[in-house]
Amino acid sequence: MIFGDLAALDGAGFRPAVCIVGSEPAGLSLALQLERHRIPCLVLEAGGFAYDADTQDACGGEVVGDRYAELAATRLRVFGGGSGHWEGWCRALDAIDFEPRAGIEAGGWPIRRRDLAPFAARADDILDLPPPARPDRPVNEDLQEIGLRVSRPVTRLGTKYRRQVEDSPSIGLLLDSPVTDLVPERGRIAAARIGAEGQGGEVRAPFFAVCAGGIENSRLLLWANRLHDGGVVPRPATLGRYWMEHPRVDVGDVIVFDFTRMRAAGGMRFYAPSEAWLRGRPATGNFGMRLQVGEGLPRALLRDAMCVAPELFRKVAKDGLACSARARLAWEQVPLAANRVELGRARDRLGMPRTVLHWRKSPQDRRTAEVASVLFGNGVAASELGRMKILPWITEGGPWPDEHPVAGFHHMGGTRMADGPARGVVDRDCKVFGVDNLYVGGASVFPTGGHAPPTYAIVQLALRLGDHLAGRLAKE
Amino acid sequence: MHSPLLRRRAVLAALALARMAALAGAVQALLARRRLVLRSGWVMKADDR
Repeated sequence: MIFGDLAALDGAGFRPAVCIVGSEPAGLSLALQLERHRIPCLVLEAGGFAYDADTQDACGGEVVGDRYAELAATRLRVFGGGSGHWEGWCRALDAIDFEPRAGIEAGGWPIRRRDLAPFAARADDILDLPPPARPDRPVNEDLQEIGLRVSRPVTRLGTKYRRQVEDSPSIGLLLDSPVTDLVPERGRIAAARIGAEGQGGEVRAPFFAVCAGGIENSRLLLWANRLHDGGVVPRPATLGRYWMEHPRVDVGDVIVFDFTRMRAAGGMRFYAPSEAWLRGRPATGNFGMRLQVGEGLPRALLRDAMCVAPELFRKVAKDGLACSARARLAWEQVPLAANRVELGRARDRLGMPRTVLHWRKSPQDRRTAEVASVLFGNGVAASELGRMKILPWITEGGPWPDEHPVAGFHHMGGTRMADGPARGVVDRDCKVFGVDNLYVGGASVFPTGGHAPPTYAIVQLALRLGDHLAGRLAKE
Repeated sequence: MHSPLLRRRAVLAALALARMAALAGAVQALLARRRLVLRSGWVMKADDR
C-alpha cells in the first residue's frame, strides 16, 4: 500500500508493527520478510520513485582524508536506494571474514557465516542471482580462483518490487518522507519524525529499523542522539566509527599466454587468497583480484618483458595467442576508529547537519596491496596463465596512484555489530545496545567487510532481522 | 631560505623524501624475499631467464 501522506496513513487505520527507515536493499528485504510473516510494516523513504536533484542534495557532504568521490554520487535517495546504481556483483562473505583475526584488533563478528547461510536461497531470489558458474578452485596453496555471481540485467529492487509493495496489504510505503529524528521515551524509541523541524509529522510503532544506508544510518543516529542527549544510542562509544570501504587500485599488467583462457571466462577472472594464507598473515585484509583482458598485446609491455626473459617471451610472441590483462585489486580495510562519519556544521535543507566523512587508507592497507600483488603474480606464474609485471608505484614505494579508481563505494561500518557496547553499536540481532526496540539494517553493522561486494550479506542480514522481529512480536 | 615558512617547508620536504626512501627500501626488501619478483616488477619463475 502506498500512502500519499501521513494523514492518509492515519485515515487508513494502518498500524505498523515495524517502522523501517529507508527502502535500501536492507529495508526492502526486511519489509519482504515481514510480509511473509504477515507482520504489518511501514517503509519511510526519503525519495520518490524517480530521481530528484533537490532530494538527492541531502546526500552531499565533505570527505576529509584520501581522495574519494562526491558523496552524493555514491548514494541514492530514491525508492530501492542504492540498488538503483548497483553493479550487480554478489558473493557471500567468507567464513574467515566473521572470525577474529590476529593483528586486526577490532575484528570478529558476534555471528558466523552459518548464521546467515539459511537466508542464502531467499537472497538469491530477491537479487535474481544465477547459480554459481563454477566453484572456487585453488590456483596454488596461497591463491584461489573464485566465482562471483552477477545479477544480469541488474535487478533494481525499486523497479522489481514496486508493484508488490503497491498491492501488499501488510507493507505500507510513504514516499518523500525523510526521517530527521528518532524520539526516545523510557528506553525505547517512540516515534520517527519526518521532514524539517516544525513541518512533517511523526510515525509511531512498536519497533523501528534504521536501514537508510551505510553513511546515513550513522548520520541519523548521531543527529538524533545529539538532539536527545544520548537517549537514542545510550552507549555511543563506536557510533559513526570504524567506517570502511573496499578500496580499488590497479596493481599490475599481465601478459596472458593464451587469450582463449580469458575468453572462456568472459574476459574476466576473479581471484582471492586461500583461507590458510590469510590465517597466516596478521593485520592483512582479505582481498579480491579482478583480471580483465585488455586490447591485444601492447608492444611496450612485450618489449619490456623481452628484456627480462627473452626466450620465454619470444616464444610467446611467436605463438600469437597472447593478450594483455589488467590486474585490479579490491580489499578489506582493517577497521580503524579514526575512519568515521561525523556531523558537520553545514546543514541540508531539512536542517540536518551534513556528513563529514573521515577516510584514509592506512599502512595496513598499503601492506595488503603489496602482498596481494606479489601473491597474485606468483599465482599467475605458477598456473602458467602468464606473467605479471607489478606496477612501479608498488615496487618503487611511491604514493597511491592519482588515477586509481578509489573504491567500490561500499559504505560499511559506523554502527558495527559486536558482543558488547564498548566495541559496537548493535548486538548480534542488530538491536542497538541499551534500546529495546531500535534496530539497524545494512552494511553499517559490518564489523569487518571481507572483500566481497556487501549487497548479498546485507540482504541475508535483513532477512534474518525479519525473522528475529517476527519471533519477538510473536512473544509479545 | 631564512624565512621560517621556507625553512619549515624544506624540513617537511626532506622528511617526506626520507619516508619515501624508507618505504621503497621496505618494499624492495619485501619483494626480494620473494625470489621470483624482479626489481623491474616482473614476477617470474626461476627457470624463465
